[in-house]
Amino acid sequence: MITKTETAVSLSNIAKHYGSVAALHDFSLDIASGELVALLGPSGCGKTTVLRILGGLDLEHDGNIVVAGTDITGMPSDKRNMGMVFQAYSLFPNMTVEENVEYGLRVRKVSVAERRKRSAELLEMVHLGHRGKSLPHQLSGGQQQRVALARALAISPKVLLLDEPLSALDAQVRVQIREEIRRIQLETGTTTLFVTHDQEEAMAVADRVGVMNLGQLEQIDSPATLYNNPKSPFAASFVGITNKIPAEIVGSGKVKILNQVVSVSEYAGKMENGAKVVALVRPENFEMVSEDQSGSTTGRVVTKSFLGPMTKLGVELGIPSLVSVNLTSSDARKISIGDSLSLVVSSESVMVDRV
Amino acid sequence: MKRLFSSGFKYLVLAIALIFFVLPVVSALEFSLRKTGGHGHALTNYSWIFQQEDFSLNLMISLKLAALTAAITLLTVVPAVAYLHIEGQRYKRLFEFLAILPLVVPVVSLAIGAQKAMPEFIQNSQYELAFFYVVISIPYTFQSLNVGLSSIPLKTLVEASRSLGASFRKTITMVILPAIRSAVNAALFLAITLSFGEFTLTSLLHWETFPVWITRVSQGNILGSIALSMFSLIGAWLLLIIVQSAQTFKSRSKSQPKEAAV
Repeated sequence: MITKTETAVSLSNIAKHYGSVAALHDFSLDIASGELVALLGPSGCGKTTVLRILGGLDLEHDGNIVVAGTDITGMPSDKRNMGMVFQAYSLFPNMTVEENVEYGLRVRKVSVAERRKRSAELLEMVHLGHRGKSLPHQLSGGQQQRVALARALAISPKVLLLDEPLSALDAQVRVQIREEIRRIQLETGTTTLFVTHDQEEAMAVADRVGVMNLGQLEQIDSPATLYNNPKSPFAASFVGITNKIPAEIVGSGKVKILNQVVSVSEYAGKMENGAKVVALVRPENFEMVSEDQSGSTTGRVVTKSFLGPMTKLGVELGIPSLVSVNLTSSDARKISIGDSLSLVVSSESVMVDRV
Repeated sequence: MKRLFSSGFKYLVLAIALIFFVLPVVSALEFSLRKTGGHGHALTNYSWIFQQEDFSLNLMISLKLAALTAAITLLTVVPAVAYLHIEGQRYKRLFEFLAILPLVVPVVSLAIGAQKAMPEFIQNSQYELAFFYVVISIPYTFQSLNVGLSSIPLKTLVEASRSLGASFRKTITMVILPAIRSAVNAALFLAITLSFGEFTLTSLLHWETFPVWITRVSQGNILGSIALSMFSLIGAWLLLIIVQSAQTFKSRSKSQPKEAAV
């Protein structure tokens, strides 16, 4: 079992500008040894820039990078000993799978016998032991990314950098490969930085998830903490709180949403009576009730999407946007598009934001 | 009906192209095989080539120059175009423009200007021609390499190689060049054939190579000159076939039958 105590990677006050545009400002992050940290955020938030700076692919930046106690700021990528898996397929097309995995060791002048042994072990680890002699174009996308992972691990990297490695794969393969990445990461104990824009992917594999916005880290916490206690509306929207419902502050720490009054969990503004706010409510935090229940609001079902165990409904509740409601598929079975539906917010407290 | 017309049109275009390219070659071949006086066919004109003084000397000079041209292209033009793709994307348009200049600048100006630019010890050697051949073949070699490098995810491959500990030089030799082998082969082939057939610049600089020698010796034997031209053409084709076969053999020996993807 890997202990995650000592700091393996420390990024301090990293700043990066592209002309007048700030891609990163004052970005700091510590990663413990053996930890897998996922950086989550929309396109252009700076997450890939962090990864490239850590990997030495982008040397023009401010701030310091310390890895395993050594300051590596300004060190070129070929001296950093970091394995990378890229979003695009990056296997060397002229080399076989085996040669690809051995490449980093060949560059380090490791003996042929040792290289063969290591590549065989790693290919077995990614379940591709039988494809050593194949060329990259003979593999599927998922297989290519597994070989890329084996190749990155072959050099026993100090840090493994994963730059959206699953985004080019189809949904089923993504789940399979992400589970393999986590299994292998735990097996090898490699400190890993995983960059993704997929919330589910980040939550599924990471010890901690960092939500990035506009070149800054909004929040970094364990998946459970981030999910249950997002610290900002942006972080909340990135972990599945998609409904923004107009609401009103009705007393100290209370907010009126639709016809119901609940507690406020997070609000950066003043709690003045009558202040207009937006309440952030998860789709699964609605409960279907009878029409006469106090505090309930009745609306009309406009859309219905079956998602297996859950069914997603789009409900018109008299506010500008449709409210997204997740019900168990057994509850939603009797509901059809056009039906009226009465709902209450089931959570005791909600996050509110300025209008 | 539309399909039939489209298919017929395709074959018509192919037939016209074949006539356009093959007819002159067949005619030249037939002409080169004629006996003096026009009575029958024989290999007389081809045997005449080998009887000429300095034939093998000039052929060897041209072959050496072609090899040197290929080597200089491989060592300078290939890494330069690769570097341009990796680090100098913003200057790519400028270099694309500069690369066609050898086609635009008159050969006389190029010959005099280029020779003046050469160090004195090279100016006195026939091997200076190889440097000029590299320059005049740039419009073609640059394009060939440009297309090859654009067809691979160059930036990702370079970054992957660098992150695995390879220097820039190793990345170029171990990853990039083999990945664009066919484009490099095409560029080298163009450089070789161009240098092997170059006449104007060589003649202006008063050097004698195979094409200059052909022109000189063929002035007194028109049938022999056509036989010489055919000899050069067949030589160039053989070279192309050898390069292509070597490449096909290498890629076949590496490929494996495809298995079901998992």
